[in-house]
Amino acid sequence: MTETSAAALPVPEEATEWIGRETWSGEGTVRSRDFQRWALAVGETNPLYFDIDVAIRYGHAALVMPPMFLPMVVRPLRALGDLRPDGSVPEYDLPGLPPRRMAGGDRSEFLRTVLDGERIYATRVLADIVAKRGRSGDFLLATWTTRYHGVSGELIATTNFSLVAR
Amino acid sequence: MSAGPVSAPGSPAAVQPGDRLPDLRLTVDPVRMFAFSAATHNAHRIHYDLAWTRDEEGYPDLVVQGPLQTALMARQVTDWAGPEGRLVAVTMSNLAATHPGQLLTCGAEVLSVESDPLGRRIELSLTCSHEGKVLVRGTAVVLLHEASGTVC
Repeated sequence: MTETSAAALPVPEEATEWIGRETWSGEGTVRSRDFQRWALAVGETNPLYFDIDVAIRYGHAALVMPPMFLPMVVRPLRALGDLRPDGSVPEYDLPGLPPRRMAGGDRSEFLRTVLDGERIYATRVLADIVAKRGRSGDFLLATWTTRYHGVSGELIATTNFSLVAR
Repeated sequence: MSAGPVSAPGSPAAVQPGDRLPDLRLTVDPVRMFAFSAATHNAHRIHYDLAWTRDEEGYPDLVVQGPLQTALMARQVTDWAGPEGRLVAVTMSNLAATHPGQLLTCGAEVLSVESDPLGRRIELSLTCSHEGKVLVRGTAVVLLHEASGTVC
């Protein structure tokens, strides 16, 4: 994907006004049944996610959460009527953003192991919106940075999720 | 569905820059896509509504969830690293849509191995390809604790 200026979609000014601003905050509790359901869908076999005896043997006080599951811990539950017409969640909506969406990428840093039962607090900031040209045409790439904290306020992880809108 | 665990031919502790991990080859089918959407409370139509996906979004087929692909690529690394390893960072760029039924090859090559106070820090470059076309490109960093029995 190469960035262009002339032929690319215009970046809506009303959306750029959100850059650097907090767009969402939330919290959730890590539940082993939830992350195990995710792990089985991914085909994970790591015993730290499933076997408490192995987790303890490796020095953990509880089952270990797969790191890539972290955004799911705080993901809001939505009534079906609150979803967008395409069925996707509305929390990545911005004024003027084109309607068709798909995942564009991820850049995450996990500072420590997260365990079953932990309470997680998250805040999300719109980091950037840029115009791009891809294999299938022009699109906007919007990136949100989410910071995750534990009960003591310590930073646990940072994720940067990018959304393709076209 | 063919997504068994990645088998490691050698000890991750002996890995060197330039080494390649065993490829993870799999085909994402509708069962896995449904299970992943259920596990992530994801009702986005492009993952199950073929008429919508074709008529409204212009794709030839359903679209495999981007977070599922990146999770599979991360799994390739963590399966190899084992319980002594901890995933500390990933970067992923989705370059093109992936569709169910496509045979995917996840490849990983060691970029660097550095000593860390907690163990060895191994950075890898990752690709997920179909018929030679790279669909997702990324990197991962795992921290491999030297002594088994404790993990940072």
